[in-house]
Amino acid sequence: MGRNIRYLIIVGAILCAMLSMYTGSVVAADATITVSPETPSPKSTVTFTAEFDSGDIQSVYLNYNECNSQACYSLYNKSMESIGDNKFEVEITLLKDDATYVQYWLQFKSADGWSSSEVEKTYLSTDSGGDSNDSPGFELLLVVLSIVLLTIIFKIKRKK
Amino acid sequence: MNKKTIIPLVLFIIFFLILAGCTSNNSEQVVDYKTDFEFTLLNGTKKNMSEYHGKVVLLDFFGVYCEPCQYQMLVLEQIFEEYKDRNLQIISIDVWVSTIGETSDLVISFLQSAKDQDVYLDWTFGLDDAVGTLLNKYANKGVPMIYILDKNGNIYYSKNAYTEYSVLKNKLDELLD
Repeated sequence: MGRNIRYLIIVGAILCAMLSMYTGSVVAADATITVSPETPSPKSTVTFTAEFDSGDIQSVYLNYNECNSQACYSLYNKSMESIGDNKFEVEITLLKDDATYVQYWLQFKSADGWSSSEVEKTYLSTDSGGDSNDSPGFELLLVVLSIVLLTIIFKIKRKK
Repeated sequence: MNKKTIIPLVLFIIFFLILAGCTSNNSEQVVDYKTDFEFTLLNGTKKNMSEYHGKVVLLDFFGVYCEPCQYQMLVLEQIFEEYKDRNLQIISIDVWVSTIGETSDLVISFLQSAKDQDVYLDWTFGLDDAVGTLLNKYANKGVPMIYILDKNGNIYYSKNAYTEYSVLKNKLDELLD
């Protein structure tokens, strides 16, 4: 892509500055976000769980987008459902097969008003593990069937 | 009135009406700018794209928290430095306003952060509206989204991804030379 070291340093520094500014607005509560599975595949279903250290959270939204080194695709804003114990959850399906990471953060409402969490990033799996057709051994069945048929044909010919 | 007076008078009136019609058309100054839309500058002023009629425009739709968009900005900085004395207008418009509520203050902070790194992004910056009109029409496939418009607002080049300096330079040279 021809990006030089200067580019990387500058963008890294700017992003750090912007992220610290964003997290600077967090005053009401701290949130921990967990992603399941830890390394999702592109186009797979991912569960985001947010756990707060304070119990007065009224509503939580997850902002996320799918990116690669060239572009970030559409940004989404999903409402998270309370599952008790100061935890909120939402299940999303990733849409882009060429995305290499997901970027996400929370917007939540507490008694002190709206706040935002730190912007976080989860890299996606690059293997094709998500391509399973849920029928393990199906190809093997065809091979076994072919062998059985060949054996029968061979026996019939030998009898003749 | 006799015939000799009426005929020249009628001819004069017809001639006057034709002339008046022509003058009226010229005074309207209709600008047929193909890619026209409104956006908001960081100071809150509304701006129409047709105001850039006669200039080559490099349009960059971006989001502050989009990492590839920041790499694109560094390329645009190079383009700006090289072409600032030519008939080129660079416009970067933040389209993550309706989706996650990016604001002019956030863009201003971003420009300041860049300046702190000796990166001067001194061209025109603006924002989409609160319902995402520009996002939905011009950048719905993702950002950065680059358009190069000719002097009449026709889209000459577009790319929905980070675009190399050499590619932009080639396209701009084709239009500006």
